[in-house]
Amino acid sequence: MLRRALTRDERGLALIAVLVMTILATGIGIAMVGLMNTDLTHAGVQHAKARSFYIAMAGLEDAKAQVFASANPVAYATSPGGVTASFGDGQYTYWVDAGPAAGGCGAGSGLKTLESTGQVGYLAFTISSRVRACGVPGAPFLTAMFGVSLVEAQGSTSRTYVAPYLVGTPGTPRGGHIGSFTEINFSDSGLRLNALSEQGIEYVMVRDPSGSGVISIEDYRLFGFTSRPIYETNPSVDPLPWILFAFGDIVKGQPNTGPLTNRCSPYTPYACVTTGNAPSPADITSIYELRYTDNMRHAYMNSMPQSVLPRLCNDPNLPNFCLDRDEYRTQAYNNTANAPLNTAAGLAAKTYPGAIYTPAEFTQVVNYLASNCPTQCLQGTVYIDTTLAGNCDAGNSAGCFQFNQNVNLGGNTGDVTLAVGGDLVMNGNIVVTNRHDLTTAAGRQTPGILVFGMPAPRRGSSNVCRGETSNGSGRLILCGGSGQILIADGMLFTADGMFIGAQGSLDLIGAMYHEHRDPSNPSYTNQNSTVVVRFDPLALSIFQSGIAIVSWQQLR
Amino acid sequence: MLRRLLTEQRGYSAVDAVTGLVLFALSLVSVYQVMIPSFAMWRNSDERIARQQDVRLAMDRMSRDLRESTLALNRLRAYNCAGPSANQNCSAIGFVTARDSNCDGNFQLTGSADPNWQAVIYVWFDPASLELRRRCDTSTTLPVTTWPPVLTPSTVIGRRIILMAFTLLPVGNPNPTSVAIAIREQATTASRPTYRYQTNFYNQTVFLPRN
Repeated sequence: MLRRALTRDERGLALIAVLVMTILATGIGIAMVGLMNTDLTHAGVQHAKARSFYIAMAGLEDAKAQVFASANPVAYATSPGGVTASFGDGQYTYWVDAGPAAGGCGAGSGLKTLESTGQVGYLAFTISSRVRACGVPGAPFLTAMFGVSLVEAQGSTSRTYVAPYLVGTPGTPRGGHIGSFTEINFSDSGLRLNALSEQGIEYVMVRDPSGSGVISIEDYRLFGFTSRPIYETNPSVDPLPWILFAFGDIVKGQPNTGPLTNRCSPYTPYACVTTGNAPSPADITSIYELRYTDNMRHAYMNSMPQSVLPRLCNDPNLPNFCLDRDEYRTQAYNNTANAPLNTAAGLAAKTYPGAIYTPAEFTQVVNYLASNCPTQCLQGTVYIDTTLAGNCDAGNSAGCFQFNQNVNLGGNTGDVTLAVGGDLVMNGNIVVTNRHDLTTAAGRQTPGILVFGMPAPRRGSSNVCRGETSNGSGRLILCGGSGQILIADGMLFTADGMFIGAQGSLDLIGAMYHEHRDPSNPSYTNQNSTVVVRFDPLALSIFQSGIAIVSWQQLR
Repeated sequence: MLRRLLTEQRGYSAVDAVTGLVLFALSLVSVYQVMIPSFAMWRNSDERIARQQDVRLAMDRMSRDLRESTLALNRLRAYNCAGPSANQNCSAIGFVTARDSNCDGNFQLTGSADPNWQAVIYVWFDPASLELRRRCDTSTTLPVTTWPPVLTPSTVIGRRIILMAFTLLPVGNPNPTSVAIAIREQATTASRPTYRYQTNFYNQTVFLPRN
């Protein structure tokens, strides 16, 4: 009996051993799984964070799309609660100028604030990311000077500066971009583009910010430099202090409706950059190549990106992008603010109502303004209708209006939009001023000069100056001369290109966009003249379509 | 008889206990032997997750800075490039940031809502320590033209790095549009020799500077 008992005890000992081993193995296993689980949780959180970021970005893109699709991008805003939608395995909420996005990019700045948060559930947690962008509403893209067809600088004495308007320290912000859908040509190795006092201090004539008239300033101040850069003899070396970062890009554009033809060989679907006058030039691919290989030693820009951009006018598929001649004519028709001025100028009885003028009538207005503005100036949108007759040639051929004397249209803080149904010509050696109140967003968004042309240009053309002709297609021609300067604010738009003759000057705060009616016409020609564009992105709001982002940040 | 039996029981019990302990130890050893691959796999998996997480963390620590930066000429530069093309397989990079307070504060805007650049961030691979390091230089908004800048003080954002490559994309294009970052991190030797599990971990991500 005792032996049986001992035998039973032995069986019990083995059972205990097995149990102990099992417990040990289980404990070790649980510890291992626990540790791995912690690491896996960390990895899962990181993954969820990444997903939430991309969901937030999806929300930001949705916000942009909504602004883009709205009839009035400048006024578009969401409710303070924002717009929430499911996306992927999470959700985003975006705000436009409301809720947390209200005033994020500066209240009253005319800029739009877009903010989006992306949320993803992970275990018991909600993982989120938040991003914000500031954009220019109504602006489809950001270029200071853009031509659908050829953009060219001609002659060894042509000077072009494309600076920022609200200049801070150099490069913040950068200067404006130059772009084309077809070609950007530099015809002479002596021409200067953003060449800041290369061979000694150089001055440019710009409007006097404190009153009427013009002043002379050192050109490097346009970009925020306080002293003249130190230039190297080697064109591949960036002058000190490094200056290329302060400039904009040469944008090789391609319309989103398909590429346009150009004369470059081999053919490039984007606009090409060329030098000289060869019939089939090769495309230049970098600023270094432009300056060093192609010997344009005095041309300074940042880079040459290629970009697909919306074609703004002359595209039936994109009617929203085009500026509407009739819209501005209607604005002028309804503009009665100039009635006292009309009467004072001897225009009690006009051909058209409101602020629509024939060239002869507008000549009378100019005569009056030359003596009376800034005491009494034009206001609002005015429209020159050249259908019946012009004043650019001896026969008063239709399709053209010409300024023949110095004039300030709206005073130094005006709100005039000069719209022309024909060509607009500035005779040599005169000063024409159309300034706006740039202290307000509305003033900066007000268009400056819009040269629409006639609905149907006339057959035949009249010689104007320097080989330029007029037929009412919508060209802006500055005849040049050392005393000539056009001072303007806001958008400068032409339906058939712009020409600036030798020794002429342009001082523009805003932006310019030049279409063409005949592919053989250049969109923009600077012929031995001095052009100063201080780029204000708000000027592009005139197009009322899309939104161009100027800054982006990740809040969380 | 009973006394003898009791005496035998004590003797038997001692032998039994020793034998039991030996058997128990053998059993434990056997169990351990059986579980060695499991232990190694666990150790390797743990190491692998940790390394992958390290690589992801290093990427995360650069991602916001890079996304908020710009590709404007001279505002972003790559250094120590092994090629074969320009700005390809570089071991260091410098770029501007609009964040104040030693590159980690608020994103600053100009009056026109453009980024108001505040400082330069350098990120580089230190082959001596196998570390990925980051430095915020608030004295300038332009990365140096030639490496190295002043590199102290700096913070470590990745360890056990055996390969670090920054490449501006498209490769060889003078107008880059994005930055590719490749990181390869080495696991510790403890998890390596016995079993042939993965021992280093590679992550390549492309970032798009948006400003």
